[in-house]
Amino acid sequence: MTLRTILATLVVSCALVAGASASNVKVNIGYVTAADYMPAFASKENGCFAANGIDAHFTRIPVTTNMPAALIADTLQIGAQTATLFLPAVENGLELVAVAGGTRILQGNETLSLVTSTKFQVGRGADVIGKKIGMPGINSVADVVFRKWLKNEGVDVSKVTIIETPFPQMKDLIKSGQIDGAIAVEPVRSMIVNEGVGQRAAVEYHTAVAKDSILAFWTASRKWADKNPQSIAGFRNCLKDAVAWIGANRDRAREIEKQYLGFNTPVRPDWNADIKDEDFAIYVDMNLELGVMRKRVDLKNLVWVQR
Amino acid sequence: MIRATCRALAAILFTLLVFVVWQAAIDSGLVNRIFVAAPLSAIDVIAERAANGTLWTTTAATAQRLLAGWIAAVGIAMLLGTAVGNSRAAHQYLSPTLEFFRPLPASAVIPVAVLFFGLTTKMSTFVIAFGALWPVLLSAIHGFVSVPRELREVASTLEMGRLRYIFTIAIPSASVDIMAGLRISLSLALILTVVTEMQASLPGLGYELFLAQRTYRSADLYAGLMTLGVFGFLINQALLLTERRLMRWKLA
Repeated sequence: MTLRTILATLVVSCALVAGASASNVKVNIGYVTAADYMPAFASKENGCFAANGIDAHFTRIPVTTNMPAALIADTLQIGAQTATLFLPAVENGLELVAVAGGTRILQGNETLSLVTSTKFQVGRGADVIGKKIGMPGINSVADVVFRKWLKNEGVDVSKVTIIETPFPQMKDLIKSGQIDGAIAVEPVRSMIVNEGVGQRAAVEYHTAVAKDSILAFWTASRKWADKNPQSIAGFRNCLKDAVAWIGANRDRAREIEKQYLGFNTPVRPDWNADIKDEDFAIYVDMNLELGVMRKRVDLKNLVWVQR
Repeated sequence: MIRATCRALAAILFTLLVFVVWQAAIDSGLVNRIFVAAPLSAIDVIAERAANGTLWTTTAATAQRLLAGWIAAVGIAMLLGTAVGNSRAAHQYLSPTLEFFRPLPASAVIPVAVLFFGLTTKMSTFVIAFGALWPVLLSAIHGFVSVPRELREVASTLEMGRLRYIFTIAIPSASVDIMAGLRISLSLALILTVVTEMQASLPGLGYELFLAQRTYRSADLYAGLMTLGVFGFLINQALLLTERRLMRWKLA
């Protein structure tokens, strides 16, 4: 083989590799520390994203409230959100759309609950009057649904002190008595209960409000979604396949979970990549009732569809 | 008098010009109104809050918190400053420790304050006092150390006791420095009041800003910023007037 042939082969190989990389769309995906987003992690690790032309890069974000701004600024292309943060952003003019489902919260498999100190038990809304409850975010889905539950129970919300408390601090603040309880997700919930610091409430407040509702989902800016319909389709298909893959590859899935979240959760969320406009109706009503939103948004524009 | 009036008018006109340019930038689409609200929209929100009373209750809550922390800061700073500025022994014993704490950002102290006091008004008062005491302390020490030698000699000649010297000579002499420290300290105290209200979800102007940011209500956000700006301006003017009244003899 002559030197010319070797060089020609090298140049052609480089061109092919560059071409293949160029056809992959770089997608920065923002997530918060929760097992709800496992199908996305699995889709990257099992090669599904790459096979669908998605060059996925994950970024852990401390709080979901930063997600809308990051999506509009194109720092992230896809971001994890919940309805009570997504809807006010859309109401106030941010051009965001839901692109895929993440999890639903179903009665009997609640992944977040009210946990309280062992000094008192909560069986109804009146039991938290005068108490300080730690919330993972003001106006988060945990907060809004909790306040809706209190209203349904006939409790004046102003009689309960709601304090924004990051998940990692919840156990220590309950233990020291600075808060009386908190809305905790796994594994924080199990940590609080298993270490004897607190106990789960006797009533599951979220499913008391809605037996089956969307919890976490994926969003993007409408501008980016319209420009990348193939990536959205690939993202959705991979998430759907990932749920079955996780079930069939439990050990590998636990490794991936530990890699992305730093822990393994004892409870398996109800992952669901499907999402419909109607999923947001209950949250629009709640947000309006509780003053989180001031006007209705058009449900038909919330889930991205290729035009 | 005429010059002062002209200066005041010029300041008002400049502020109005800033508002006009800002409104024009929004109306022309030069700036995205999702992220930067028009001044008229923000003023509408302020008017609405004034009408329904929330403006006054939130401002009062912030003012109360600010004053509690600032007064604590001034009290501690004056005690320490008087000791360090007028006693060689106190200067030698206290200065190294004070120099250790001085560079600590007040915001870095918030987690410690939360551990001790929880997410309460006490936590807020502690953080405000910690952050706001340093300008007063340092200016007081500087003022006391800078008392003219001639005045010290007068005190020595008259065989003044230490306390009498401090109240009749040292504090009046150091008052210009102390007042400057008080004004800087008050601005810092306002910043820390807003930060702690956001951190601990305490009702007040800071918490209103935090909620506006969370719900992407830019008009509410800018209304909150304007309210804070006006509030800060007014308390600074109040302190300036107090300075002019108390120190008429010095400024003459």
